[in-house]
Amino acid sequence: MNDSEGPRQERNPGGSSGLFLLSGVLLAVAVLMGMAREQNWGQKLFGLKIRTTDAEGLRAGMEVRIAGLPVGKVASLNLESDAKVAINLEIQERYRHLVGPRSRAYQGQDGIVGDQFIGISPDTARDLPVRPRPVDLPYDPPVSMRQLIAGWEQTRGSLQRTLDHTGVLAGRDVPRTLAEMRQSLAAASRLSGRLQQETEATGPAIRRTLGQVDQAAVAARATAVTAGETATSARRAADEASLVLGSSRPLLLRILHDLQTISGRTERLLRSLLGSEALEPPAGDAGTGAPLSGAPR
Amino acid sequence: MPHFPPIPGPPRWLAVAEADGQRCAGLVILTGVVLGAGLVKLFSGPGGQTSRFSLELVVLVVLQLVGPLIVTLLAIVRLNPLWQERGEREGGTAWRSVVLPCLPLSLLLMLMFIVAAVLAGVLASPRGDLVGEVRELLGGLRGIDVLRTLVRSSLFLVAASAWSLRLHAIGRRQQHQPGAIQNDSLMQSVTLVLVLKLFWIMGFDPIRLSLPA
Repeated sequence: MNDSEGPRQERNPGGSSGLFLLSGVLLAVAVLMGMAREQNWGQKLFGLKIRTTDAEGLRAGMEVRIAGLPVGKVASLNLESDAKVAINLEIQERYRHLVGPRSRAYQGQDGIVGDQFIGISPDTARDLPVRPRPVDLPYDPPVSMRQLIAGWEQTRGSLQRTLDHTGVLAGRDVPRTLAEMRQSLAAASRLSGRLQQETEATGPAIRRTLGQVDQAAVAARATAVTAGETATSARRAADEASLVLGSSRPLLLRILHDLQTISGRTERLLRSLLGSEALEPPAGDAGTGAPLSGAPR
Repeated sequence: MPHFPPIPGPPRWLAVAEADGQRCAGLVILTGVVLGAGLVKLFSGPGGQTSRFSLELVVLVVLQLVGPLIVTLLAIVRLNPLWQERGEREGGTAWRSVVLPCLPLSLLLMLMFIVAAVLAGVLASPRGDLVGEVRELLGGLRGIDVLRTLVRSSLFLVAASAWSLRLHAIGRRQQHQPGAIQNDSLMQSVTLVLVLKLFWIMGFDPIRLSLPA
């Protein structure tokens, strides 16, 4: 650092090792290569354009990601005449097939306090058409922090009112409810005591009645068995009577036929006898006596 | 044995730039390390900023605020005695060994200062992914910003060396003492750099209140 180094260098300035220039050039090359690699110098890009009414948090150079991985960057932001902000994105051409007509752009963030980025939902169904100008992409703006705070404040107010009402309700109604509940429990206790007394008093009678009911049930069951047996016997007797009737029927018919035959012969005998006047009817019976032919058979 | 002609050495002005660079590089790199690490510690510690934002502020400060100024001032302090000596020895042709070497010298010194500050800031940041930090910073650096900084640094150092050489010639003509000439030269060179800086930020390239993308 002292000035004596100056004259010594001045005496032989060309004899230096070239370390400074060489390392400087190497450093410059390394920085240029790093910038070229990270900024995709020389790579083919295609343009996307999104429009929004609020570009808060957006800036040029911001990453554009698909499925969480960087595929491009925000090239520029322009305020247009209709107060909308046109945001031009530059995406690497090799990722064109991941962006389709149904893709949407949104603003994302790494964690809560991380870097913000533009995300694009992939649509692999169809590629974007190749156009000379940037293709418009729908954009979902982020939730405004102001709206979020306003909503939070509104929710907090509602919650506070609910808590106030709950406090009033608890202070006024809970003691009354507790007193009523206590009275109800006392009444239930009394009722339980009475029920126990009544149960003790009526228990034996109920027990006896239940025993009698059991006996009656046994008797009824026996009666039912007897009735069943009687019905079976009656059915059997009817069957036998039917059999007897069936078997005696031809005989009865023959007897009736014989009786008719005998009756017919008897009538003819009587008619013959009357016609020969061998047998006169009595005088007193002339007006009252029915003719024999008219007698029932 | 065939006779090979001797390999010509580098031009004299390039050899002078090498010698001057070796004389200044250590101090410039050390200053860059201290500035980068200090700013990151300050911003991410008491400043309560994120490590990424702190690093972006370091880049902003180095590229747009104090980088060329600090590098030029350090080079003036280290090289002004040599400029006077070369002016004394070479007379009217001294600009070849004073002004011309300042062009590559300032470019490389400025680049070393930027890299030293950024790397020191990355190392001092609480974030663990150092390589990722460097890649993000390289991805965010705009080439035009770096180029402007390098051009400004070259302009400052070339102007300061030329002014120093001119003061030496005037002082010699007026029979001033070498110590007085060197003192005036140092003070006026520093003043010139500060005036140029003021002119640059007010008229040519105003400081933007946004981080470099």
